[in-house]
Parts: sequence; structure tokens; C-alpha cells
Amino acid sequence: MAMQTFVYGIENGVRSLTRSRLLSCQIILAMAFGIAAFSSAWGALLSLTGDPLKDVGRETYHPQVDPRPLDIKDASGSPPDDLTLRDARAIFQFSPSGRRAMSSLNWLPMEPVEGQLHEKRMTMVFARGATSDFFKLFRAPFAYGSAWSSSSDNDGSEVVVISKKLNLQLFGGKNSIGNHLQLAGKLFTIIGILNDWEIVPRVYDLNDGAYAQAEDVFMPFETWLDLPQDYGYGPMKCWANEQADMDHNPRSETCTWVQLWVRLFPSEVAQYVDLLKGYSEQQRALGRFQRSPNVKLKNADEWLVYKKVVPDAIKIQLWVAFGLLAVCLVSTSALLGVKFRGDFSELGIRRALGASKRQVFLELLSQGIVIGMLGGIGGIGLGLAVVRIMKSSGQDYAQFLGVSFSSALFSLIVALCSALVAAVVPAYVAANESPYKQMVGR
Amino acid sequence: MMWNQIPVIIRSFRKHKGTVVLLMSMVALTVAVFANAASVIGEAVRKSQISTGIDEANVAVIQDIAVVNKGGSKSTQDKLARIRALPGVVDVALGATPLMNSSTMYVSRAMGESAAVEVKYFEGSQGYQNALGVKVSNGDNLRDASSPNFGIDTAMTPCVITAALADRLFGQEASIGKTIYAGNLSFQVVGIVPTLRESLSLSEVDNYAMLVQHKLGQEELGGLFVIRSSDGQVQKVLNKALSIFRDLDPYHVQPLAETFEDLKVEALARRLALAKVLSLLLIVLTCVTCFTIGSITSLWVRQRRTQIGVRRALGATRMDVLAYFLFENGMITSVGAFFGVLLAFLTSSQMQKYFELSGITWHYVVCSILLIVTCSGASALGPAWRGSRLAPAVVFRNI
Repeated sequence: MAMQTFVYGIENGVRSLTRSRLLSCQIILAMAFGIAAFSSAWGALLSLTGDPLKDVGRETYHPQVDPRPLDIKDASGSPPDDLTLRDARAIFQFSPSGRRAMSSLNWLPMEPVEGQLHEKRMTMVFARGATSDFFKLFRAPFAYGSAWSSSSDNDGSEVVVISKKLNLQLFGGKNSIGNHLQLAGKLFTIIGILNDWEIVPRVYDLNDGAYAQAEDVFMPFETWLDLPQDYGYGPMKCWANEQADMDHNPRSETCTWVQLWVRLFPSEVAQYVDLLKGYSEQQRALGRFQRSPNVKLKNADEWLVYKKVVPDAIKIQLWVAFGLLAVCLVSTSALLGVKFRGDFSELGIRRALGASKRQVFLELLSQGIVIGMLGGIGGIGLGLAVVRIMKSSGQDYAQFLGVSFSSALFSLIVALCSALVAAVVPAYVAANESPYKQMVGR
Repeated sequence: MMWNQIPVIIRSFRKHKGTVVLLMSMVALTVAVFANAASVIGEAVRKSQISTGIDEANVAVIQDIAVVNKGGSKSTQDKLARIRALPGVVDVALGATPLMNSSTMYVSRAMGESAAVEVKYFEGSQGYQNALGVKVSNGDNLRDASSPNFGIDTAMTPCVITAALADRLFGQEASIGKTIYAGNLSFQVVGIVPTLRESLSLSEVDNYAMLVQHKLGQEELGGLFVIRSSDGQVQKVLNKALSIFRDLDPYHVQPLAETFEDLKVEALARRLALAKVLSLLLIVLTCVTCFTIGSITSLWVRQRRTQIGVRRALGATRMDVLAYFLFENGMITSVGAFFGVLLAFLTSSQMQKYFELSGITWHYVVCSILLIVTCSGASALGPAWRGSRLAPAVVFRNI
């Protein structure tokens, strides 16, 4: 019965919409504009917050401790983002092999070597010094070869893993394992080549922009640390005095720069926090730390929120889109009121022939559903066009923008709900008007 | 004559309570959204018009990095001389342009004074000021002869400072010849430049800057090189200079070689991209508001055919009928706009909590209201005009 009313209502809705075409078009268009603004901004936001580590994001953690002296004022009270080398090495030992990674990024000069398809001059490449589990922790897929073994983390092995892009540039994309790269004056052997690596945003290092291109070269952490010249050590922050800043010494105990990530099972988290606190206490007893234990253990998802990766531009756009959607909703509601009023004589006859108020109300609501559906579909289409415009902005995040199926579906639901909300009041008013008045008009 | 229509209009509002309230809230929302989005767009546009104070059209920058253990054969002086000899080059020097995160210093009028002012510190080799194309408006330019060597901190270094900084440090007093201090360093002000900005912000504080030159000996240094060309030659000069760098020393790398205008475009791209999308949304917003108001006025005119006919028959002119509908529209828009102003400022203060925005000013609100009122009036004009053309005889024939 209910189903019958519903189908009848929809049929009637469509028929009634085709009767006053111009007005119906306007209503659907208003709905579509609002949904277009919303779906493009929402889709963009979702595609940039992403889920870089898929299901393991919640289990991948970023431990922080606070080694800073008390006289450094920090309004937020949060510990520094990164760790000093000494703390990183100590905390690294808390996790078993296979579930921990230290790393950081710099910029190295690369000399051309015989056998490379390359311009015959030096270039700079982004290089990440990392321990062997880094690739596993951040789901980097290998096309050829593999990562170095954990024993190579410390023995100064001169081996590298390169990106698919660099392999294409230097070796035309073929299996180049065993070839060499001359980096910062040293000769390295290629042991692994990555495949396309989808990690948006690049959660393991957000310092150079969350949507910047991934680095081209990876090498064992200690090898990287022992390179003959200072080419930077990632996001180094020092606090001792100006001299410490000038020295730029990665081994300094007053400079943080190491990015440490660990994988923890849910049952281990509380215990791990206790370990961090215990470590802080112990370091304070030794006189290295001054503060009472100030530790944080955020997982990848929480880290992205904490570091506010989504560009403000997208969030501002979402605010404006919400505003536009609200205007379109009010407009739809007002126009539906007008439309239902236009149908008064028909509604009056229906009521006079025995249709209940409830039936009329539901019928008018189902017109709302039809409008929401059509407006929603049109809006998602228009929204795709808006995203296309946004993609042409030339920003580093532009390539990742898009409207996923799930966000389109969500926009459609928003459209349906909005249309229903917009239709409720005018439908109620129209259904409760006396049939006599409706028939004679006012 | 118009004013006695107000009670009639208000009485008719009572009959359409729902629609009138919806229209008013739509106008309020439109004004609030429009004013806020327009201020974001306006900020982006104003930022793109900010001048950093250098000769932006003719300046280019090259970054040159030396690689370890591979001693270059040429000193930095040689490189500079080779580039300076290129046709079309006005001057070249070691040093950064704005937008490259120059270092910051804290300066004060007396040594060790605690109330120091944060300034952007532009440091370069001989000819740096000329290479940037920054001219003094008062006092002297920096001269090569009086520049101390790089790395010598004890000497008094001549500097030029921005007018804003001079004002902040010395107020009404003459600043030329005065000494300013930063830690144990001391600088003598020899000239004032109108503007020198490190970043494209609208804040006056970011116009606190000082510029110094140091003498370059025969050392080999890497870093940033500023080149200024004669008018219109900048791209050509940049390409030639880059090939000089590459020819002279294969063990140096040049990861960056760009004209300043390109740097500026990159610095502004994010906000300008946002401005573009927001403009599109605002056009759509205005359209939705207009066609809604147009449709509803049209319906009201149709509903009141009899009323119009009676009024016309009783002596109302066509102008009276037209004025009636426009006046009605004006009242709805005005009430809506009033709440729109409140909503606009409320939203703006909320947005400022989350984003780096300068917030709306009265200009944006007033302009938005004017625009919405005009558009709304224009949308009502068509239906109102048709209403005023109704002949009483026709109306009564069809009653």
C-alpha cells in the first residue's frame, strides 16, 4: 500500500513537473547548483585528506617526546614534531624489527654515470635516508628488486632504491638493478626500483608539502647520515643557541629532525605510551630532559589532522559552498511553495474526491524526491566540471583532486535530504489548505 | 504618494508569510556569502598587486650549489664578471630576491635593547642593491667602497632600510646617519627605500626590511645570484647566464633559475586559483537569487491580477502598479540585507578563527548589498512591468 502510494506519488510528481516546465527547471537548476558547489568542494576535500595507508593507517604511529629545556615557551605545549638522533635511536629499539622506521629527507647532487640516458650534467635529487622497514611500513611497492636488509641499515652499505620516475628518466624504465648512481661524490648500487606508489598525502613527511612528489632516491639511514658534506637533514630545528643552528650538526642533542614511525597493534598502544613516559623520566633523571614527560603517540590519521594538511583554499571553498547550498535550499523551498500553489485547483479536486491530507502531503513530498534526484544528478555532473577547473590550477595538490564514487553518492544523499527538507513546509501548507479555497482560488 | 502603499504591502506580506520569510532569509544568506567570498577574492587580488619594491619585471634569480670535494676552477668574482659583461645585463650580485625566505634579524636603536623589531635581512655582494633595482628615496645608495668583507662582523656595516622601518625605529627624527644594532652587530643607515617586502602580505610589519652589501674577495661561494636586465631582456639574460654557470664549472648544480615574475606567480597561485573558483560560485549564487526572486514576483503578479485591475480602474496609474511591486521587492531585500550584514560579520569572525584571512570590511558588505538589491530589483522589474501593462478591461473580462 505504502509502496503503491509512493510509486503513484513519483509518477504524479513527474507528470506534475512536466506541466509547469519552466518553474520545474528552475527548481531543479537551483538544487543542481547547490549540489554542484557542495559535491566539488566535498569531493576535493575527501580526495586530499585521503587515506594514505588504507587499513593500516590507524595502526601506524608517530611517537613524540619533549627534550626541550623549560625556558622555551611554546603556546601549544605539544612536543616537537620530530626526534633528536639520540632519542630516535633509543625509541627505535622499543619496537621489534619489521615494525619501525627512522627516516629523513635531503637534497643530493647527482653526477651522470656512463650508461644513463641523462643530460651530461649534474642535477639535484631528493634523497631519503631510511631504515629498511620504511618501505613495508608505508606500503611502497617494488617493480624490481627489494629493500636492503636490516643489517645494511648500519653497515654503511652504498645501495639505493630509486623511484619509478627516476628509473624512467635514467634507464628508460628497464630493470636497472646493478646499475650505479653517483650521489654526493659516492658511487651507489641500485638494488630496488619502486612501482607507482599511491600515498596521498605523503603522511611520513609533511614538511615539504603533503602533496609534493615523493623522493627519487632512498638509501640506508646510517649511510645517508655519514655522507661527506652537509646537504641538510630534513626539518632540523635546534634550540640551544645560535651556534647550534649554525653548526647544523645532526648528532646534536638539541636538534630534532628524525622522523620515526612504528606499527603497533591496538593492544600494544597503552604499553607503548608507558614506554615513552618511562624513557622521558629516565632521561630527566639523567639530566637530559627538563620537562615532566610530555609524550604524544598519534596514528597516521590523527597526524594528518594535527598537521592540518588540507589546503586552506579547499576549506574556504567548502565554507562558501555550504553557503551557496543553503541559499539554493531556501530558493528551492520558496519555488516549491510557488509550484504547489499553482497546483492548488488540482489538489482541491483530489481532496474533494476523497484523498486524505496525508496522501496529498506524501505525494507532494515525492515531488521533492524527484527534484532532489534530478537536481542531485545534475549537480554532481556540474560538480565534476568545477573539479576540472580546480585541477587546472597548477597547484601541487591539483593532480589528486577528484570526486570519488562514495563522495558522489554522499552528495546525492545530501541532495535528496535537502530536497525533502525544502519540500516539507510547502507540502504541509498545501496539504492543509481547505479544498474549497483551493478550488475557487483566493 | 508611495508611502501610503506600505500598509497595503505589509498586509499582503501577512498572506504570504512563508514565502516572504524564505525570500528574506535567502537574501540574508546571499549577502553574507557574497561579502565573505568577495573579501577572499579581494584579498587575493590585492596581494597580487603588492609590489616587493624591487624591479620585478627585470630581475631573475639563479641558485648555484657547489658539490663537495670538487673544487671549482673559477671564483665567484669571475662568474659575476662574466655575467655582468653579457649584453642586456644591468647588474648581478650574490644575494636573494624577495619571496625566498630571507633571514630575519631583531634590531634596535641601542645595543642590547630588549624592545627589538623583527626585520627581514637582505644581504648580498657588491652591486646587490643595484641588481635588485631598489632605489633610495632619501639619502645615499650603498657604495662598494664602504662595504666590509663577508664574514666580518665587527665592522660598522652601511645599510639602507625601508621607510616603514625608519618610521618604526626613529619616528619623526631623521634616520640617516643613525646606527642600529642587532645583537653584537652594528649598522649605519645611509639611505631610505620606499618599499622592500620579503612576502606578499598586506601587513605593514612585513615592510620592515634592511639591505646590506658585503665585499666579495676571491673566494668561491655558492648560493643565490640576482641578475637585473635592461627592459624586456630578462628571459634572454637568464638563459645566457645559466649557460655561463654551466660552462664554467661542471661541478656546480643550478636547481633553480627563474625570473622574479614567475616566482611571484607561483607564490600567488594558490590564492588566485581559489579566487577563480569563488568567483564562479558567486556568479552562480547571484543567478540563483535572481531567478528565484523573478519567479516569485511573477507568481505574485499573476495572483493579484484582479487587485491590479481594481486599482487601475480606481485611478492608479501604470507607474503606481510598477512602483508597488518594486517597493515590495525593495522591502523584502532590505530586511534580508539587514540580517545579511549581521550574518556576514558573524561568519567572517568565525572564518578568521580558522584561516589566515584579513576578514570583511564595510566596503565588501556595502558593495554586496548594493549588488544584491540591484539584481533583485532588476529581476522583479520584468514581472512588475508586465503587471503594470495589464489593462483593467482585460482583467475583468477574464475574471
